[in-house]
This record gives sequence, C-alpha cells and structure tokens, in this order.
Amino acid sequence: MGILENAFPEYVVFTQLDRAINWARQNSIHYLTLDLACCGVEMMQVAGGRFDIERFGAVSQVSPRHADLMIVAGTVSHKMASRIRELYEQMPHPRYVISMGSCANCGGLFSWEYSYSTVSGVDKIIPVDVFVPGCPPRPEALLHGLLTLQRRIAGSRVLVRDELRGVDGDA
Amino acid sequence: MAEARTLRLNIGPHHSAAIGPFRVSVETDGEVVLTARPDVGYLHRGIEKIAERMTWTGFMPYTDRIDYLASIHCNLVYALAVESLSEIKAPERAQYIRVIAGELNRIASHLMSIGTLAHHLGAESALLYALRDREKVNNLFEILCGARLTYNYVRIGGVFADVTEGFIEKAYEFIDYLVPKLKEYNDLLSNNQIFVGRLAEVGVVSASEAVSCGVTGPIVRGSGLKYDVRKVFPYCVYHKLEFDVPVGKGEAGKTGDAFDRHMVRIREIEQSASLIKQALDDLPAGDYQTTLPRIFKAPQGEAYASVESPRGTLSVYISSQGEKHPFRVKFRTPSFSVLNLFPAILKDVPISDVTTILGSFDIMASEVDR
Amino acid sequence: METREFFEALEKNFGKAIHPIEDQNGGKFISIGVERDSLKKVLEFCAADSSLRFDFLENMIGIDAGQELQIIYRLVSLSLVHTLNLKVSVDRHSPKMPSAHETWKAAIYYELEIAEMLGISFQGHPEPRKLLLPEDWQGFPLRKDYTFPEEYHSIEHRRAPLRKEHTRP
Repeated sequence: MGILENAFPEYVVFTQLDRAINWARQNSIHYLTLDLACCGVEMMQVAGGRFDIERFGAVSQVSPRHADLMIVAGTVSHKMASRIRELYEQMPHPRYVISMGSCANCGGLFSWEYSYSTVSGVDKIIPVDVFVPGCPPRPEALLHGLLTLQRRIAGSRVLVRDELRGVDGDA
Repeated sequence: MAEARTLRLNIGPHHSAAIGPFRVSVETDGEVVLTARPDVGYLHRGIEKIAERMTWTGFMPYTDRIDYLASIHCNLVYALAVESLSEIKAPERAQYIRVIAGELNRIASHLMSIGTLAHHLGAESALLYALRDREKVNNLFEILCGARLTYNYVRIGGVFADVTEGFIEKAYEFIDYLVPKLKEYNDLLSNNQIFVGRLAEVGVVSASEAVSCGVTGPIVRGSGLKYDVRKVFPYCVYHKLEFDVPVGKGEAGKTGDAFDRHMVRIREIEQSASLIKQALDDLPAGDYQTTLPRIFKAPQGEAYASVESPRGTLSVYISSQGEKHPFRVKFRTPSFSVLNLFPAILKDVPISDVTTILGSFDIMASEVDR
Repeated sequence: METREFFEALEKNFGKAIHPIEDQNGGKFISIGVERDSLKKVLEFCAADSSLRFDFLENMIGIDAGQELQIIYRLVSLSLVHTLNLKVSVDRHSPKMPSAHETWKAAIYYELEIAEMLGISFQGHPEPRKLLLPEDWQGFPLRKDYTFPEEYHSIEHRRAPLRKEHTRP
C-alpha cells in the first residue's frame, strides 16, 4: 500500500480521516488509457462530449507514473502481457484496475479454446478491481464501472485500524 | 574526439500515436531519426486460425474485430467472397444498404483518424469535435443494427436487418448536418497555419514508392495516384453511383505529404456523404436477405474479394473443401503493407515528426496483427 | 487481359515451368501453377513485361495443403487494370522459397508473416525475424497440425471454466 499506511506509530489513533482521504481519492482518478483493441474506441468516446467522464473527476493520463487507475480495454496477447505487467508496476500506490470488455475479463471471443496467442483474462497477470462486461461495453457501462470503483474506494481502509472500523456504522 | 553514439528509442507499444498497441523502434542521433523498425504483433489474436475452426456463418463476428473502425467493410469483404464462391446473389436492396452502411462507416473512421491526427499534434479540441460527430454516426448505426462499434451487420446473402423505421429520415438529416460541418474542420485544421506547418512536406511518399510497397487507400491517393477499388474493380452497386476519387495535389508543398493525406480524408467524407444520399434516393424496394440453408456449406473451391476500406484495399482469400468450416481464410489488410514504408519515410526526420507521420498513415494495430 | 492470355504469354517464355491452369470452380478464382525453381524469373518477367506490367503485389497467401505447402501470389496491374494469381508448391519438410522483395518491396512483410506462420524460409530475405509472435514462440500456427501452447512465460494458456456446463468437448 501507499506511504500513508505505515507512516504513523501504533499509539496514533485515527477515527474519521479515512473519509477525507477516500473522498479525495475517489473524486480525482487519473486513468491510464491502455487502448488495446475495440474497447479502446469506446474508451475514447467516453472522454468525448456526450459521455464526458470528466464530470466524475476522472482524467485520462498517458504516463503510468501519474495514473491511479488502469483501464485495460481490449484483448491481451501473450506478447503484450509482460508490457502490461510492467506498466502496472510503474503506477504509484494506491492503484486500481478496471478490466473493460469480455476479452480482458476472461478471453471472450478470443479465449484459449479459440486463439493460441491470447491471455484469457487480464486478471491472470494483474489484480483487477472492477470487471465491465460487454463486447464492447457501451460507454455507459464503463461509467458504471467507474462509479462502482469509486464506491469501493469510499469503503476502503487507509489509516483507521481494523478494530476501530465500523464503530459508527461506516468508515 | 568523442565517439559518435546513437540512441535507440522505443515509441510504443503503449503510445497514443497509433490506435492500438504498436511499437516503432527508432535509432536516433540527437533529434534526428536514422532508422526505424516497426515491431508489431501486440494484438495478434490468430483470427485466421480461428476461421478454420468456425462455421462459415459463425466466423462473421470475428471479421468485425479485424478492423473495428471499419467493421462493415470487413463483414462485407468476407460476405462477398463467400457469396462469389457459393453463387449466392444478394438482393438489390441489400446491395444498396451495404453501400449506405459502408459509407457511413467510412465517415466514422475518417472522422476518428482526422481527430486523432490533430490530437497527436496537440490540438485536443479537434478530437472532441470529431468524437461529437462520430456519435451521430453511432446513433445511426444503433438504429440500423443495434451496435455502436462492432456491427456484424452485413451477412452472407444480404444484410442482417432491413433499414428500420426512421433511419432514412435520420440519415438524410445527418448528411445535411455533416456537409456544412466540414467547413468547421477546415477552419479548425486545414486552414490553420500551425496545423499546416506541422504537416506540410512531412513524410512525403512518392506514388511509385507507395505502389512498390503495396500501399493503398488515402496514402497512395495522397501521392496523386487515382486508385480506388470502388472505381477500378466495382462491387455492390458502386458502378451505378457517381463519385469522385480525391487525390493529393501538393497544396501545402509537395505531393504526397501528410497534409495531402489529411485533405484526401476530408474530401472523401464529402464524397461518402454524396454517395449515401444517392443510395438513399435510389433505394429499391424488395427483399434484404436471401435465405441460407440451416447448415451452410460453401462448395469446394477458392474465391477472392476486395473492397475499399477507409484505409485502403481490403481483400480476403477463402478456400473451401466443401465442409462446414473454411479451409483457409486469409485477409489482406491495408495497414499491414504500410510497414514497408517505414525504413524509407522515417529516415532523417526529427523525432517530433514521427508521431505526425504515424498519425497521417492512420495505422490500425488490430488490422496489422489480426 | 484474361488469365488464359497470361498463361500463353508465360508458357511461351518459360515452357514446362508453367503448369496448366487449375480451374476448379468455374472461373471464380483461377491460378497458374509455377515451378519453384523458375519462380523468381517468372515474377521478374511479370513485373517487367510491357503487356503484363504487374506493378503491385496485392497479397501473398500461404496455405497448408496437407502434403505440401502452397503460396499464392496475387498480382495486380494498376496501370493496365488486370489481375493474376500464381500458385507455387513447396515441400513440407524442407520449405525453401526465393524472396520476391527485389521485385516488389511489399513482399518483405508478407514473407515475414508466411515464414512465421507456416515455417517457410525465404532465401535472400533482407531481415528474417519473427513479426507477429514473440521471438521465442514455438511452432507454426497456421499449419494444420499445430497444437496450442500449454503456457507461455509461466502464464497458463487455459482458463478454468466457471461452471462445469461451460466446458466444451
């Protein structure tokens, strides 16, 4: 995890700071556009005027070193797999992954039964937070995936210790 | 004296200058590129092998994914080849619908390539304009076949569905909207001093070089050669429709530079709009599909078909042993041949021009790799 | 010009190296067979002859036809507007072909693709390498006896099905 988590000794107790941190994290997601195949075009359309992903605070980013979220949009081939892993490792913590489309989810049309050169699912090489189904998913589906991820981030633990979580019913 | 050293720089595979993963490995001396070597295959999915395991009709959705910005053309070329092999004739109405869908798809694809070219040069807003108009084409396709990107609309023996209610009026509306909007693109890009300055006399491709390399489409037309499959080997009903083939004239400097390719795309949008209008006017009544047997088997033999996709000549060779599945399917994709141009064109150019040249070639990684 | 006229022109110059026209399916796709040894000369003739003038190599198709491997050269003349298909057979066990890149530059990448997909080596190719697949890939995918890999660089190729009924025979 990130630098925050282990920055404080045990006798420092936080109660509500997570909310502020998560609020900041979920509303400023810089996503890395990993435009691999057909889904990449729909990912571009999401950034266009009609769907406008920026109203949810998400901005596209070309460098992995400035990105919080990687959207894997398209078929992952064996040749590309090691590069995706490398890009993922360059991203700073905390990092999230959305797998967009059937190919990245499980192989889809190009799963192992049919194609010899593809990886059946990007979750074989990097951990995935949200799967967006569809071939290709509609832009609305990707937006829903982003909102799902934001909800996940809102509920994640950063500084509050496990035994203090859930005292007031949330955190 | 210090030893002269060169630097090997990798552009890609994760880079925005091509649609899809694509790598060019360039050797540079300071700011100047000495040699360039394309490295492809990051999206190789073995579609031609998959074809050998699929039924004739079941392979159609895979053709969408060969060139996902021109799905209709990939569907169409495969359908034409199978129809020619098994002597099926698609009804007249279907032929017209195919032309309409194909030209709409060409508009969508060219809008994307014009937008992304400008985007690579730093003109962010042009891409947003292009995406806005592309959404309108997507809307039309949604009315037509329900899909936004991978249409799977053209089928063996016709099209999947008849033009739905409201499509024809909406298509006329769209054409009336689009043609005046082209002036906006010209004001924003083609007449923009900075844009012209970045494109003029960059990446000059001579016609003879292009032909020898097997390059087709807007690149070879940008070099001044009037080669268009729709004119030379007409298919569907293109021989009944009137259209021009725009060619590069060296308006910004030399014939065959990046600006000529850009202008060819803009003018082709205009031609496509006129083609759609003509096809809509002449759309005959009748059936849109011929019925195929439940288990379709193409007779033994070979067939070949070519169409003009937005990126150039798209052809397919099919071979059948008279069984349920194809024996061999081989696609000739226009972007693949463009790789032959790299050593000659990406030589002695500044690094900053590499993205310009790649953008103006409009390379689709999925088409190169298949 | 028609394929029959091309055949006459080629036979006049190359004699026995040109096989009779194969016409299996009523003139839809006619190809002329050429002996491998004289292929290079035939291709050069096709490109240079003033009545043929094939300036454009549209496609090269590699086929695994069981006993032997085949390559089809699809030639187009942009200036005279005609097409020609030349078919060459090559032995499956030691597949070697002359490279056509001196006649048409377009052949460079077609040959690279055929070489890695079918395992045919092209002699005189300027830059032999793997194109679409990784450098250490085993086997030639478009051969009919190709078996899919179990794993590549410790990534398992197979994916376990979610439920039993999703398995295919």
